[in-house]
Amino acid sequence: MKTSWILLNIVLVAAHRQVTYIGDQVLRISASSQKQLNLVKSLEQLQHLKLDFWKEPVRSSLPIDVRVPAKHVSTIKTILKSNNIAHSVMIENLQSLVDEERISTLISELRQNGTYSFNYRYYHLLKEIYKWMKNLADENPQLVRRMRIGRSSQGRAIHVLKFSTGHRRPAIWIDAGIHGREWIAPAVAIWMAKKITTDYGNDPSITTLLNKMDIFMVIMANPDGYVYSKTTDRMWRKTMSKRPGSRCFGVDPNRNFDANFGGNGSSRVPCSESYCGPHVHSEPEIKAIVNFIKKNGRFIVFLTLHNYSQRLMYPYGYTQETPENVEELDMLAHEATEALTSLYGTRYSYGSIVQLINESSGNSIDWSCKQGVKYSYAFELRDEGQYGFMLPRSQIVPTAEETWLAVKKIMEHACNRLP
Amino acid sequence: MYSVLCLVSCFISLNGMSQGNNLEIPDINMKLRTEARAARQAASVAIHYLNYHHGSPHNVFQLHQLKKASLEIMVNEGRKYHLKFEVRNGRFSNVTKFCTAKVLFYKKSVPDTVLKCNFKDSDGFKEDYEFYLNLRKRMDPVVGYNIPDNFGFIAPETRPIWQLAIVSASYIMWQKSTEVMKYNMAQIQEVHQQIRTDEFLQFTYIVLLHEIPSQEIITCNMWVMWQPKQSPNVKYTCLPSPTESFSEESEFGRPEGME
Repeated sequence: MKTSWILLNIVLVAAHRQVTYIGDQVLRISASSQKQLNLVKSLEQLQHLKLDFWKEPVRSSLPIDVRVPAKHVSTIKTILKSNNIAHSVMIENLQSLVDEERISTLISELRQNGTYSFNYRYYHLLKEIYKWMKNLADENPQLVRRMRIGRSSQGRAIHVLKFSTGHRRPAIWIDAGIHGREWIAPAVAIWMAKKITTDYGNDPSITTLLNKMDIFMVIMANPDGYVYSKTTDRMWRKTMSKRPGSRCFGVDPNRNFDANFGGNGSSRVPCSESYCGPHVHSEPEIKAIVNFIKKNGRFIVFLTLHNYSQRLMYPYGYTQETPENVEELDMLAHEATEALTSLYGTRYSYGSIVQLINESSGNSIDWSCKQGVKYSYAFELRDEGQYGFMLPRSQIVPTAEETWLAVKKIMEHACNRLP
Repeated sequence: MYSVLCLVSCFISLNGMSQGNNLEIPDINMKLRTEARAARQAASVAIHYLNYHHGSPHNVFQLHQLKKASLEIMVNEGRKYHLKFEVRNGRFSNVTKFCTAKVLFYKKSVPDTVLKCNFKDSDGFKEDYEFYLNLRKRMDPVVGYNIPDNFGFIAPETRPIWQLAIVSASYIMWQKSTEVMKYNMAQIQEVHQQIRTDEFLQFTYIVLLHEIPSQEIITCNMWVMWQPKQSPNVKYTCLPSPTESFSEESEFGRPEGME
């Protein structure tokens, strides 16, 4: 990683030539438009400023990291401020990093490139997430396996992380990222996957759970949609499948399941955000998930992560009828949301989809419930609409921490009721 | 219940307390669970109305708790929600204010809203004035794109511009809301200030509204004129969404709804 190479370089140079970085700052710049991006690029051209880009200005959706020599810090900040270019100080005094004893451990950590140096407070690029998944499996060979269960419309791998200490056990399913624009969901799933690996062997509850059940996690169920929302249209929800005869593309994957497919609460219009698709399981991403779950046949819990609204919902969406264990589902939802709220006071409402939102046909938890998965829930994570899909990075870890408490409650309940 | 009401209204008419000679179909009044979607939807309409009318970028309110809700079905006049709720200013504020509201939905009209809250209008306008005076001092007009940015970041200086957009877009969202369709302002795509010589600040915004449950993103052009202690003057046009009108069944499962 470039940062670690540079830091190593700085340490070596500092040791040999007494060069100092006193007062140098590393800024993270967020250009929100092509115009702003071009302005930052033009600053790079000004030689006398001696700006040292650790992350070059490439696209307006990517952060730009730059080391600014001390004497130019206030000039650069003034330029950024007066052009309304968002920026924050990542390192306030680079010399202090060089001075610290911990520099060598910092460098070795950064060089590791594994899940230990991964920034959990960031909305990553897809390829960074895929690499992280591979790292998690490589670092925990006795517990984690990364398996490809299919490919998206545009050919991207659909991976599932299998957490297992045994063979063919009752299983828990968790998926995130089915809707491109809901970035907080895969970010929370990543944090939770890491948490499972650190908790196994340390936390009695998770250790017991994993000694009796398997957990299958799809971090990114709709990679095409995620990439499109990162590069082109931040508000993109659907898949990227093409529609012959229409200029519109994409299907709402959460209307594509075989549960009252095409009914009220989904749209038959290809241009619509809730387009159900030409037929049941038309989307390869959904087909892959459905096939995997059916083939496994041992799922007891099915959880899907979305945002936003702060809701925990159980089936059904397509009908006012209730699952036969609705009282248990409701009581468990109550306990799970209480656990969630206990951490930061975030309030959730709970109930069936049709009660809380409105009718919805072809959605995943209705399908999983019909398949006999006893505990099927959909999470709508933070917030309530203030930032909505654009949830600030600072809320990623708090959201993950509180959601984890609810997820744990559901998993533990299922585990306690195993025959 | 219907027959009892009929008896009651007949009794009243016999006593000459009702108008007209036709048989009156009685209105139906029912208590709602505060978790019920319809009740919360009506509350969100009342809060859009509150934010628009209060007109204060530094006092944008959210629903804190819905205390009581009931629905009055008035034949040929619409469905009127009676609400009692608490609001708070911003996500972390512990201070709540109490409001009552009546929200009437009828066919395709703007929801008729009557609102009373227990705070004096003069609360918290100091920051609005500071923001206003800072902008009046500037020589160059404010320009902005993607607020919040794709990562949810809002620069501190830009925050009041964002909040003024929410207050102004509340006018649009209040007008567009129905018993089924709910709105949140998702992002400011663009904002341009037009410098004026009079006491108003003027902005043109392109805002993206998130429409639930259709999940559509609606693009609206919004022209705003504002000064402190006043509701903004808002004019807008929204681009049509790609879908036909979404299934507008009432929450109780009966296929009545908008005609």
